[in-house]
Amino acid sequence: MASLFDSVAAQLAESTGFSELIARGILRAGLEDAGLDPIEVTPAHMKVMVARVLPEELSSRGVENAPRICQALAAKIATLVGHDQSTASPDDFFDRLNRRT
Amino acid sequence: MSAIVFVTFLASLALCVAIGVRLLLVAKQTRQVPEFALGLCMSAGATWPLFMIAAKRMHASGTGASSILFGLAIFIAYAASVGMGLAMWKVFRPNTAWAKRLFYVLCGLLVAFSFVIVFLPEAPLENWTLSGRRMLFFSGRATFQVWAMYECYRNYGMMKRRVKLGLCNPLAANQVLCWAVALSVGLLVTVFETYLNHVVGVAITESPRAMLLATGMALMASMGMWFAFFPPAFHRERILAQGLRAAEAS
Repeated sequence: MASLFDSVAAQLAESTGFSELIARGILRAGLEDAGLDPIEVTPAHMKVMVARVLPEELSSRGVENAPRICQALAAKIATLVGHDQSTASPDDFFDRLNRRT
Repeated sequence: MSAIVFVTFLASLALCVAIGVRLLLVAKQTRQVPEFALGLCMSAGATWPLFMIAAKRMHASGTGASSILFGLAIFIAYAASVGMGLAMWKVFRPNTAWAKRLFYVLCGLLVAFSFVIVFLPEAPLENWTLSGRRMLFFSGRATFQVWAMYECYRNYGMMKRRVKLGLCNPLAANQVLCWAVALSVGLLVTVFETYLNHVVGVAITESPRAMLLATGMALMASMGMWFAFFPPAFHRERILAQGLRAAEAS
């Protein structure tokens, strides 16, 4: 099964007209700016990144209506959550510890 | 000075065991692997120097059980390293295939190292402090330590960026930083000991000043772990207040 990153990159390529390779590069850059790992990113974090960081990445590459494209993409992420991907992150581990301190 | 060294050594050990036991109690509630692995790593792992000291004493007095205690010390120390590696994989890279492979490769390496250290015909406790086997032993431990340090510093950098987006609790980011610093100080102790033993040619146990420095650093590392896993209220409040001020400013 395709990963969350693969699925969002394919959707981004479709929405912007970029090749999938370029779309993956843009998405990777957005994830890096947001401090997220392409393999470990959770759907919730991906959604925030797409809504808040990706518009700037797309605008800087001359994409018109970047905020609108990103909003539509962020809304679609909810439907991509069927991926067999753990939602664990370092934050969860520390949250578990801090809740019990 | 030896009394200060002894107290510092015991304090560092006790703190590590206390953190480990507390992590195990958390693991009992959460049923999650990372806290269980780290709990075992810290509570059992901290005791390996005691087994080593006992083994050396028994060896000096000609008691036969020294080899068993020595083997046990190596097993506990390496099991603690494996626990740390398991936590690294499960906390920072649960879905990354290479992290899983790296974990198993390093485990295999430690098994091979422990066989060489324990079972080669030369008596392992003869001149242990200055021996190549000790170097091999610490190299084995350093593999997981270096990986852990890399993951902690890398994730701290990423979590700082997530904090700006409101995707991460500033306290969690600070906890990862404390963990990284504690691991760095721990590795520094190992490097310092190895330098003294193998470059200067002086066993650390024969230099009270070096022992004081090493045990002091070990205590600092234990305190770093305490701040990482169970930050005290004053520290927690300070970090959260800083995070709040940063959020208001941006």
